[in-house]
Amino acid sequence: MKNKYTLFLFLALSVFMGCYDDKGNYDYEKLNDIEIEFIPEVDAYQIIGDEIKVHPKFKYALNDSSDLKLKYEWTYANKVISQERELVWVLDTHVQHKLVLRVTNVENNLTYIQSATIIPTTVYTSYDSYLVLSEKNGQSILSYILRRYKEDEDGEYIQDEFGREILECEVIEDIYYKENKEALGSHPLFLQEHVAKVFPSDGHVIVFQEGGQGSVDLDGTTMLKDILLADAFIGGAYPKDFHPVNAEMMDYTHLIENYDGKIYSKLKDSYKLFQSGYYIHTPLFFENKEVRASIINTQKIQSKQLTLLLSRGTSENPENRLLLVHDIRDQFSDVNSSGKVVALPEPKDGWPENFKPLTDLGDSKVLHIGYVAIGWETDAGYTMFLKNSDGTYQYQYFEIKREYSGEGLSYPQGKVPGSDKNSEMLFSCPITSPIPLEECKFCTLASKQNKYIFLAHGKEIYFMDRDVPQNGIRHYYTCKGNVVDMNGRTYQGDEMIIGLDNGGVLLLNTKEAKQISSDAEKFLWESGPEVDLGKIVDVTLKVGGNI
Amino acid sequence: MRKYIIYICLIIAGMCACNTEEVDVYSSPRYLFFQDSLKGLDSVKFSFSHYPGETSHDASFYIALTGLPAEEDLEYELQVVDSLTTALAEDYEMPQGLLFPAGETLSTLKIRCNGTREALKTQQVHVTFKIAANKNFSPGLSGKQMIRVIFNNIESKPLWWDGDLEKLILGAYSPNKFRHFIIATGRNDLTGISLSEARELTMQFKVYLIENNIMEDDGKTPMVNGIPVY
Repeated sequence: MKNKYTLFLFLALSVFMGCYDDKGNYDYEKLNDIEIEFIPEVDAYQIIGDEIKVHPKFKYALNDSSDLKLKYEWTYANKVISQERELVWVLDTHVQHKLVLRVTNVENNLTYIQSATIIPTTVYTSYDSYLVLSEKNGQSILSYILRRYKEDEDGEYIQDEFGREILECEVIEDIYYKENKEALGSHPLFLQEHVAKVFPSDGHVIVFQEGGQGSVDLDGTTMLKDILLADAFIGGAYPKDFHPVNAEMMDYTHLIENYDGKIYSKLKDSYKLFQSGYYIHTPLFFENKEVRASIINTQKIQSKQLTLLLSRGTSENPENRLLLVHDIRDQFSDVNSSGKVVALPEPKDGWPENFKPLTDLGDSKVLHIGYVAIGWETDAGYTMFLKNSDGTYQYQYFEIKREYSGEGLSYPQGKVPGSDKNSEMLFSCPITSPIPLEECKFCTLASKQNKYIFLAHGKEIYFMDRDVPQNGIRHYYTCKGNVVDMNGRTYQGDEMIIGLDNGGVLLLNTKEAKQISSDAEKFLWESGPEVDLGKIVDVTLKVGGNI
Repeated sequence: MRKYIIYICLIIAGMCACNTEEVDVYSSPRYLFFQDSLKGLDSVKFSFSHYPGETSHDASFYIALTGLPAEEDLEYELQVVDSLTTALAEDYEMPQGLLFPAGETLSTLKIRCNGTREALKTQQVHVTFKIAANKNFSPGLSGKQMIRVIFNNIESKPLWWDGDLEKLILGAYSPNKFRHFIIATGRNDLTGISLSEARELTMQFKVYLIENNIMEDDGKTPMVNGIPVY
């Protein structure tokens, strides 16, 4: 009975407690919350070895920080890298992670956090920078022209009299040795990049050379050696009498031109890998004959789906015509024509008068064919300089259009220079030249914006306007040395790198070239007397990227 | 009294424990069986059409030993199982003087088949062999005592001539194309080969077809036209 009363008493008490009205008499304190902002905003891509400076800006809820005692902790990849308010830190890891700042109010132990993702990369992925292959002291040297701009004391870019930020490029010599701690080789030939559907990525770079370890394929981000080119051939060995002179790397089909015009090819099993499939020892065939041709490089930045060949035939069976190598793999339409060589079609309306047929250029000697970007990967434009049998020069321009998911080729409709009517894009005109074109180095800018073709003869650089070729070839710039190579692959076609026989490199402004007259405005940057890269054999924009 | 009996038993047990016993070397009979036979009958099937120019072809089998390896080569015997054989005597060679090598537990047996009989071009035959007991060996595992060779000279598409190899590399199969492929490349089996290797071989094949001006069965279409590889 006593237990019952006790239980009842507890129940009654708990009911009373439930009804208790808390009048409250707490001592509330307003929190001085902190919002953190990184100044400057931290770029995602940071170069390994570069110093990262961050000045965090705090916004206080009570607009007063005088009484706050704060503790700072910067971490990266879960490692404390600083306990100061301002971060000055050298990125020393390749691990992608978050840079985190934790600010703790010591008095109430509340922590406020801000973070930014960092993707560590290398100096070799800098935008619009260049590679130079040269021979110095009997050795192949691969150098990197790192694009930098002149800054004032406050870190602001300085502009020149034309309102342009002043370039102050850095020449990093022999990057292969710097990264691989071994000699690259000797007898350098040329460079060729190849990309894959890999992201992030900065492509791969093949250094073609005859000596040392032979041609070598480098990771475009780190410039570390990936494989030797010989290992990309079936059986791990080059074909007999293999002496490459040019190469083109499309999405699936990679082509290497031998000195004798034979074209060795590799069909990649997957475009999601840099290395897949092998080059075979049997060269390309067309019409039951070995192809003997020169590769016309597609100066495109990313996906390449067709390559033009200038077929010269053999001494027994000479020919002078253009062929095309397809690189199509379309699962939806079940088309697989990677590596297939085809002839160019006849125009629907026939070849225009005086236009040298691309299917048979006859006695005309091809001096240059340059790629021009005109639309999708399936379209391409080409400039062509010919020397006719009577000694006259002829300029031709033509465009080729391929079906989106098929092999069909045509010459698309458009307005050729000097005409208001639509017709197949096949144009030709005679040109006179102040210089012997057969002695020139050519550089057709592939850009849709700056439609120029540059020609170098000795130290002199000339140009021609693609829109008005009838205006002829005009002088542009005089270099300090003889020009050995030119490359103008930037997307806008607004600059061109020039390798000189004095071991230096020069960057020229090509933007709206026909409208600028002063050398100062044409000039962007030139390496100083302290730079001697030796005998330059190839200069190229480092494109990188992916498909 | 009971105590004494226990003592005596313990002493006897102790004496027994000290007794040395002669251990005999294992000397059970040696058995032979055909290894890798999942279904109890190891069989090999081939067509002489895949080996142009060959009038005879060897089919190989593993034969394994259960028991101690011999110290010298020992002869073993096979016998034809007539009830499981459709081949004529002239279609194969009865293996003679078969020796199982000393010190080994695994050996290779080759059965030579002859493809010259005209009827093999339209008819498939088989011959079944069984391990026969002799003074050296007895037949081993009951399900692994027989092998069978199935063969013909019928022109047939190899199993590997399929998929991407057919679509991208070799094109449609024809007995004539296959025969020339073997002549040109020396290869009659592309099982497991990479597409790059197949491309290399088939480009060699193309060169052979061009150089020798080989035509399809119609006598006017170049065979090279039907090879899609580039």
